[in-house]
Parts: sequence; structure tokens; C-alpha cells
Amino acid sequence: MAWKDRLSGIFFLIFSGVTIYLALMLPMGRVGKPGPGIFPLLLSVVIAFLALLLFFRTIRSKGEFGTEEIPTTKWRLVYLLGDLCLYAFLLRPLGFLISTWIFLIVLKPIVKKRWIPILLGSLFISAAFFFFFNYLLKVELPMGILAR
Amino acid sequence: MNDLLFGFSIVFQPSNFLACFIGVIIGQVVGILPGLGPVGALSLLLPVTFYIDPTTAIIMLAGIYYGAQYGGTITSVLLNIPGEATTVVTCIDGYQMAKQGRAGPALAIAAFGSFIAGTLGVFGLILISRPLSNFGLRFGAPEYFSLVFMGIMLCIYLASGSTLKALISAFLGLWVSCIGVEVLSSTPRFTFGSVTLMDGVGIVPICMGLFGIAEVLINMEQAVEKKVALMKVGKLMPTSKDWRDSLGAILRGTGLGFFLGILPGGGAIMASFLSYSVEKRVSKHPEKFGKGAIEGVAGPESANNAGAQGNFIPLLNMGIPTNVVMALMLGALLIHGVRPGPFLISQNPKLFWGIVASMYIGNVMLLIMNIPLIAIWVRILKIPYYILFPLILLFCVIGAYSINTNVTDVYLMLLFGGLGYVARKAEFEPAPFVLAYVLGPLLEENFLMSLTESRGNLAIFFRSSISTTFLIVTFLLMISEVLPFLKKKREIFAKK
Repeated sequence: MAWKDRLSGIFFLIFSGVTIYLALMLPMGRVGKPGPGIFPLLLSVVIAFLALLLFFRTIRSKGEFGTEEIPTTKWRLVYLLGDLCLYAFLLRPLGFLISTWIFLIVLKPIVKKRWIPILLGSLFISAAFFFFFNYLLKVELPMGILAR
Repeated sequence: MNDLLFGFSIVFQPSNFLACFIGVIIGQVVGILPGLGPVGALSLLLPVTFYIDPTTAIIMLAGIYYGAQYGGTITSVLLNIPGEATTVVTCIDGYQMAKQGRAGPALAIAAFGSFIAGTLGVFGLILISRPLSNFGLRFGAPEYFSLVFMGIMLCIYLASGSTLKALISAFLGLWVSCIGVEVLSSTPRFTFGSVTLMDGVGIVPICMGLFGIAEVLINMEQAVEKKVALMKVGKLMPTSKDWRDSLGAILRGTGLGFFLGILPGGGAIMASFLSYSVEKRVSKHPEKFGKGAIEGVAGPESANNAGAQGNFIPLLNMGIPTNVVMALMLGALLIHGVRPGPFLISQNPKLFWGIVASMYIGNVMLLIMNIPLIAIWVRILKIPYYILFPLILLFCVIGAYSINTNVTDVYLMLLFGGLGYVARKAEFEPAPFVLAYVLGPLLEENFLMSLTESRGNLAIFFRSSISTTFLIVTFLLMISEVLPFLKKKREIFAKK
């Protein structure tokens, strides 16, 4: 797992560098009256220290490089996240009912069912969720283009 | 005792009774379903509870937590797959019993054991709450700071993976909790001009991302369809010999679970593992363990339930959550404007005693649901994942959206989902992150208040014996992590 740790170490080192910079722009207050910048600054410094530890730990335990599994692109993951982003993007303009229906239909390649059950099942789930949340639990869902 | 009766009068109000019932059913279901735990379920339902009375809301959320302890047992025994982390040890002997055609008694003793533990746990809660609240009254800012700090460190210490990574995870959580407007000086921090971020990153997008979306993403790697081979339940009732064998285990498990539940950082998972190794050690036939010993089911199952109840004590009486589920519970309370702490019992007796009494009622409901109706629950296992995962995702999106009716929270959730997936691949645990995130504001506030009080002198944290003790314990924990001799011992302990 050495390469993962080394990568994480580098990542958190950069991250803490950015957060230290951001924290330093906040007012620090003075002795006896600490300001809002103190706490984030302390945290960022600790993260930087821990990231260094993580990084140097991988240097000591060398020799395991390259032999480990290399992550392959997992299309389902990317596809699913893409679909979710599309869903979030459409939620407001199209409204809950239609955007949910589209979101579920787009899941077809993962679910691996025929068109008819996908279309009908998705419609049923969207309608059921809409009814359940909007009317029974009184959660305010966007109506979108259906609002009139 | 009057207090408890008062509590019962609250639980038996129709809406609270219904909430308790719904809670334990949801808990039972998510306990059975692998890949969806009480943390996921709680974060899914958190937004829904905005619209109901706080007492009703917490009764329901608590029901989910201890209900899941019952539900997780079923998959452990019948499938050898733990539905919950707290029922991992139950697999060892529970599944062996199922193979020998004794799945029924295994499930029944687990349910009875949990019930006994739950009942005793409620009484423990009543006994210890007032003294603990009084103790808490003596706390000032430095004491709270030390206690919270110790809680976070204990959670890190007990994390299963690398301690260094758990530390990073926790400090990141603390950093994320800084995002938003700082309370004491109302300075916006790390908001990058976003209005949504002014209020900070919400707990719901974080938890749903880390525990809901990330979990689905992990499952996406495997084949979507899984065949399950279920064991037959068979005859249900334990024999009188089974009872004799397991009664001691149930009582020991209860005691152990309850006290571990109170400790910050401890809890149901720890309790179940410890109970198993204790039972193995005190048994006259340790060779029977791993081959279907009923004590190996009864002890840990009682321990996890007692632990789940013990967890509520520090939360309600001190305002300190000891694990992620309690952190979510605190989030729910704060959203409703209820600040748990030493004053909760006197200021909000309805909430406090209502929750305590509801746990007892909930355990009765679970016992009734589990003993005669077990066959119905087993069917839930047959829901295919391709139906389940879109539903989980929908719950997540609706949940994140509905907190502020804002799409930004949905994007934040997706971001945390992606990050949670990558973090899990790199073996960073999400639990210390969330706990630290929730405790962050408390830690910072008390830190700054202490320093203001002492005019910047750090010695204030050693002002009282309470605060000093907490810091010494924390220090010893960190030392034991560094010393290789002790570390080895802990690893052996963790493996058991």
C-alpha cells in the first residue's frame, strides 16, 4: 500500500500548505484575545506534520512499489457519478418528477433491464417518492416546469 | 421512578409511539441490509425530522440505532455476512449454529439477550444520569476542551486501521468544521464568497456523501447481482440447556457493553468483540467456540445492545457524542435547538425521559418483531441490489436537497461521496472525520474561551484535576501508540 500512502502524504502536504496560507489571511488576535485564525492555523500545521510523517514512513518501507494493484478505470463509477451530477443539474429547472425519471432511466446500463420495465419502473418510483415526500412528509420538492 | 412513569406517558402519546415503531422497523431493515447501516439511515432521515417535534424525532432516530443491532444479527447467523459492524463476531458461532440446523435458537437467544441487555441498560441510564449531570455542572471551558479532545483521541485510538491516517482524518474533520462564519467574531472563514458555505458545511451532505453515496460507489465495483444462499431458520425456541449456557454470558455482555458504551470513543462494536473474548476465556469449554457455542452469540449480542444504550449517556448528560451515530444524534438535537448537556434533564425533562422510556418500549417491540416474525425479515434479504441502490441514491439526493431546499448541498454531498470513495480506497476511515467535524465547534469554542479567560496562558488546561486527568489519559493513549511494545499488544487484542 506504499504508493497510496505516498500519494496521500503529498496530497495532504499540498492541502495543508493551502490551508495554512488561507488561515494566515485571517485575523490572529493577540495574547489574551485569540482571533478566528488561530484554530485553523494550528489544525493546518498539525495536518502538515502528519502528512510529512505519512510520506516519510513510505520512504522507509520501500521495495513494495509497482507490485501492487493499479487502479483500473471503473466505468460504472464514473457513469454513476456523471448521472448524479446531471440529476443535480436538472433538479431545479425540470422539477423533481421529471428529473428523477430521467436519472433512473439513465441508470439502465448499470441495472441491465429491458426498456419497458425501466421506463415504467422508473416512472413508478419517481411518482411514489414524490407523493411520499411532498405530500406525506411535507418536504418541499422542486416542481420545475410542472409548476403552474 | 416517577420520572420513568412520566417518560412512559410521553411515549404512549400516539405520535411518539408511532415514531418509535417506525424507527425500530427502519432500524431492523437497515440492520438486515448489508451496505446500509444506521449511520446511513440516520443521515437519510435527519432532514425528514426537521418537520416534527424534537422528542418525536429523537425517539425515532434512537429506534433506528438500537433496532439495527437486532437486524444485523439475522444476516450474520443466516448468511455469514454481518449486516452491521457490531454483529461481526456473531458470524463466528451464529453461522456454525445455523449450519447445525440451530439457526432458530441462535436468533432467539440473540433477541432475548438484546432485550435483557436493553432493559437493564435503561435502568443503568436512569441510575447514572443524575450523578453524571451533576458532575458535568462542575465543568468549565478548559474541562470541556479536555473532554472533547480526549473523546476524539479515543475514537482515533480505537479506529481499526492505521492510527496516523485516523489522525489525519480527524484533523481534516476539525478543519472542515471551521468553514463558515466564526461565532465569536463573526468572521467568515474559507467560504470563498459562497453564501451556502457561510453557514458551514452541513452534517447531512457530509454523512450522506461519506456513508451513502460512497458506499454505493464501493458496491458498484462488484457485480450488481449477488446470489444469496440462505440457511433454514428451523425450530425457534432455545432449550433450557441453551438458557443455562447463555444467561451468564448475557449478563456479562450487558455489563461490559454498558460501561464501554459510556466511555468516549467506545461503543457497541468494541463491546461485542470484547464480550466474545471474555466468554471464551471464562468458558469451561473454550474449544466449543467457533463450532457453534451459544454463549458466543448471546454475549456479544447483549453487549452491542447495551453499548448502543450506554452511548446515549454522555450525549444526553454531557453533550458529548462518543461515536458517529451519536454525532448525528447531536446534529439532530442541535437542528431542533436542543443543546444536550448537564441541564438537559431539568430543562427538558419531556425529551430526556421520553427517550429513555422509548428505548424500553422499542426493545419490547423488537422482541415481538423478532421472535415470531423472523421469516418476514428474512425476505428482505431477497431484494436485489439493482432495485436497492437507486432508492438509496434518491433518498440521499432528496435528503441533501431538502435541508435548505438548495442544490448546492446536493453538489457538496456528491463531492463528499467521491472523496469518501477515494479515501476508503486509500484506507482512510470516515468515522474519525465525522466525529471530529461535529465536535470541532465545541472544541474551538472552549479552547478560545479558556485562552481568553487565562489571557493566553496554556496552564489553564491543568487548572482542575478533572481537566488534568482527561489530558493525562489522552497523553497516555498517544504514548502507547508510539511505543512498539504496547502497540503489538494492542494489535493482538484487536485481532481477537
